[in-house]
Amino acid sequence: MSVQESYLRCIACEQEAEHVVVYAGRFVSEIQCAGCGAVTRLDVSEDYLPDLRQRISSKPGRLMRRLRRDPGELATSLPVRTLSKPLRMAGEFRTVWRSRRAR
Amino acid sequence: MRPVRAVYDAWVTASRRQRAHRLRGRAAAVVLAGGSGTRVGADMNKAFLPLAGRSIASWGLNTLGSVEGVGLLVFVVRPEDLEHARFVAGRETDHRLEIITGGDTRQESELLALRHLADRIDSGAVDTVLIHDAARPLVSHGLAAAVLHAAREAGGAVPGIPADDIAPVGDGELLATGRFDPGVLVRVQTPQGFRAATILDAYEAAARHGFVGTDTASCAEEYTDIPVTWVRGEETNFKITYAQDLLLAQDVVTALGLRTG
Repeated sequence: MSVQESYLRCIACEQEAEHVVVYAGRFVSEIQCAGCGAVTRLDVSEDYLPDLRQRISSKPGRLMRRLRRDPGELATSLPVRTLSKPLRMAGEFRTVWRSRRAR
Repeated sequence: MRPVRAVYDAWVTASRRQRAHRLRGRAAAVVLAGGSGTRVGADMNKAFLPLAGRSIASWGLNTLGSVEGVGLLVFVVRPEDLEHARFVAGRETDHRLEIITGGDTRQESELLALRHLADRIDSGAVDTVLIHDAARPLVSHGLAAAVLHAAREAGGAVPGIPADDIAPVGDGELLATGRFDPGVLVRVQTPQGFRAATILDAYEAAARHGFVGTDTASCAEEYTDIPVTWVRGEETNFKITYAQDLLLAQDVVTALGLRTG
């Protein structure tokens, strides 16, 4: 799960305001307008698993590409990213589960 | 006979490669992710929000970079977004990006991008410029190629969608009366393509006169006499403005089976 904040126009209050965008893997699962509080939730559970399979199958290729382009960056970031992966995956699953319950 | 044929094939392939190499040096694509320049704070520029696994800006950059004839990619960002831009260059595209910082307005950013290219425009290495909004991630390869082709033919070209559903507004909350021909308006999109030397001169003239246009075409209209043609745009080439546009773009990516690697 990752959370990003950005200025977007709100469809509810028509103001350009800060929005909190919640991602489950590659999918946006929730957007909240910080101005008026309007929330849009999306059930991403059906698309999540096929996309996760694709992410897993393409991971070796993506790692090789990074290794070719910048071995130093990969060597420094990979250990921390590997150690934190279980926690990040648990966060993703929680977000997908929440989006499913929000249906 | 076989070796002669093989030598001939190799020669033809090499000639094609040389021709393709020459062509790739002729157009530059400028992708604008400058934002409005009026916001403060640590919020991420929407052009760097992830869309199906990579940033919104990288979608357009990758599409424009893969168009035959485009040999240069200039990525215009805010100074505070430089780190994001370098991440895009390093991780989200195989094309070489020239990253520059833009100005406070769209027009200033375009001018800075054209000045960045000025030497190559003057030397003839760049003959056409495509200018694109980073917030339009789903521009297709075909549309960008069509705009480039039309710009080279006519001098200027923009994508547009016929605006058949537009009606003029009258006084108060009333619609204007009288006949209105729905065929005369188009909703203009990007990338917009122009002859490089002409549009550079136009932007320098606009800067001298303090003219601020709404887009590249408006500046071209004001300061050049080149005809600007339009090619049919695409409904999927919409701009991410509303929060829900992000969800729509995500649906389009999924529906079209566009993969991010």
